[in-house]
Amino acid sequence: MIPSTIRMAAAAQTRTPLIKFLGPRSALKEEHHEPSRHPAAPKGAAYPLKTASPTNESSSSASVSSSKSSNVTQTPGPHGTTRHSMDFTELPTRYRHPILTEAEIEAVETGGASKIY
Amino acid sequence: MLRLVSSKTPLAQIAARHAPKLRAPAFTSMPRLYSTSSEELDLVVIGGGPGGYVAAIKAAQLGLKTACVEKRGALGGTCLNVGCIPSKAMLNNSHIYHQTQHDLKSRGIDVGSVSLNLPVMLKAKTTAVTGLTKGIEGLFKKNKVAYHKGTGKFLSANEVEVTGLDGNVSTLKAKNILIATGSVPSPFPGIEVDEKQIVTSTGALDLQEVPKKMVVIGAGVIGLELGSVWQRLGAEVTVVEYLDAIGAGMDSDMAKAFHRTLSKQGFKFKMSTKVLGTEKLSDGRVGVKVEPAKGGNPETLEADVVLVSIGRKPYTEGLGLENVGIQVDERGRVPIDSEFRTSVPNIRCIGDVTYGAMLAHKAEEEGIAAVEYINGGHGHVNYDVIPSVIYTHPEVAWCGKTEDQLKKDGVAYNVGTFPFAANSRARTNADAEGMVKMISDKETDRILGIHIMGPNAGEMIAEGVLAMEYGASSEDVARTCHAHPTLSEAFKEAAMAAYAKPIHF
Repeated sequence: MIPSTIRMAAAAQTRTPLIKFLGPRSALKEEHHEPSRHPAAPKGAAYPLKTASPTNESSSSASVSSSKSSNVTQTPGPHGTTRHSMDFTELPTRYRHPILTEAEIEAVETGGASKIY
Repeated sequence: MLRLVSSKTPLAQIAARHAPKLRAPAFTSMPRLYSTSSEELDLVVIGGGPGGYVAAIKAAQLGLKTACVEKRGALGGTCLNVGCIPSKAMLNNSHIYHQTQHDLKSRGIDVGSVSLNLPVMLKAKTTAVTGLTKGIEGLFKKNKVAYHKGTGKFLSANEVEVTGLDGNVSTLKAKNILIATGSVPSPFPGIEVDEKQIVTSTGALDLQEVPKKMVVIGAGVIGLELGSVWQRLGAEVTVVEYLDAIGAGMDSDMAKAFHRTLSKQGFKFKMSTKVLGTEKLSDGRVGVKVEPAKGGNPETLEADVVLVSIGRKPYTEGLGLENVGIQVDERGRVPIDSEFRTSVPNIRCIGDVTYGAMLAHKAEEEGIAAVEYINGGHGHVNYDVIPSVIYTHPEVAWCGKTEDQLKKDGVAYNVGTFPFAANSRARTNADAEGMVKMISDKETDRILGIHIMGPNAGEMIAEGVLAMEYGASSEDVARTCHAHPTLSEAFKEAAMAAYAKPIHF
């Protein structure tokens, strides 16, 4: 009786390290991540980031801003929710269709018949 | 004979864009260098420093078609070419010289006359630098990163114009572009650097003779390291600092101890002192005009060489940021979000040219994280646990919070310290100056900051960084077995001091 009590008391005092081992990252559950303010950004830094008008005319996609300060419109959705939408031209580059080359445009217009090698 | 090559038709190309993306394996049988302007790359990295070259290699390892543009003609950036690496070569060799002159006799080693061969010491530095930069070129080839020697400039959000060192101009197209252009020494208003007599860190690493008198403007990491080099080699070094403490924001206890140690070594300090300007003296030397920061009588310090080391500034000159609408902030940094995106979503930015400490290892971490984000994964940089090291002797290293910061934040904490004078290995080595200081949360015992001044502090801090990254308590470290006799026992004893009591002090 007494030894078991001592063992139980000892077990209760077993130390648990504060260290948490997460295991390999590949095994972690995919977590959703959204861009936010950079953790090392100074306190007064503007966020969301804004883009100035590019001085180079060729950089059409550069004028796209990652910020939500553009013409984001809110429309009522189902069940009292709010839908956010933005103009197609304000989409970040990666969400846009790639620009077609002249050859590709011609191929589309001719159904591919113009390209015979 | 006419034949229709369906797989190469533009229609097939368009269709292929909408097909699920399959990335090529990282190691294919033949290396491909994607240097032609007609092929779109997955990533172009502008800048081949510690952030840029690491990002490029990581991207290639993840299967991204990657190119890296570097204008220096050698990879490795400031760190490898004119920063961390050459300064460590000079610090190490000057320490050996100084030790041989002043320390070996007491250790029972009699040597004949000891003299400095500065040209050979500088050559040893250059050999180390060249070997390492060539090594990165080898890593680029191994990982199939296309290396463009030239200056990169944005034409658009997906195009970088490369003006090669040979004068040829080409354009790289890429889905993603990473800015990693680093930093340059901050100029001191009114002082013109000639890199001979008035030098930045670059010139201070290549002085052709030991100056009799050297004035160092700024008592930060660079000033104290390079001041140490020339002080050991025989220069009389005076450090002028505007603030009342040395050491670039290190813990105030450590800063005081470090100040005392360097003073004992022969450094002269003029703290809380403002530099007004420099003038050329009639004997060819340089006069540095200074006065107390709070006002008072000005004086002129005479010097053979003046090192201007007041910090560094982000470098974006000629990058063409205006062509893509990216605006730098008031300190010249490129603003980014938590995933290193600039205001143009497919252009990211890492390292000295953006937020955070200007440290090579911080840039490396960011380079890998940025590429992981590009590749659809999760990057990880813990800005609370970025180590800082001053490679003097003794070294100083720290990570996490200082006592001053915790007081300011109103956080209750415990402090444990342990001097190297009570560490058996340090005493055996007759190199026992300094201490380990550990700060932990009063309630949870989680380690909040670690500050070390002592032999091998730069290596020892790695244990602290790992412990902090894992969220360890001081007791976790104290209950971890450390080999005897080692310097690392001082680290364990400081942890014991933080949560209970040390054994040997």
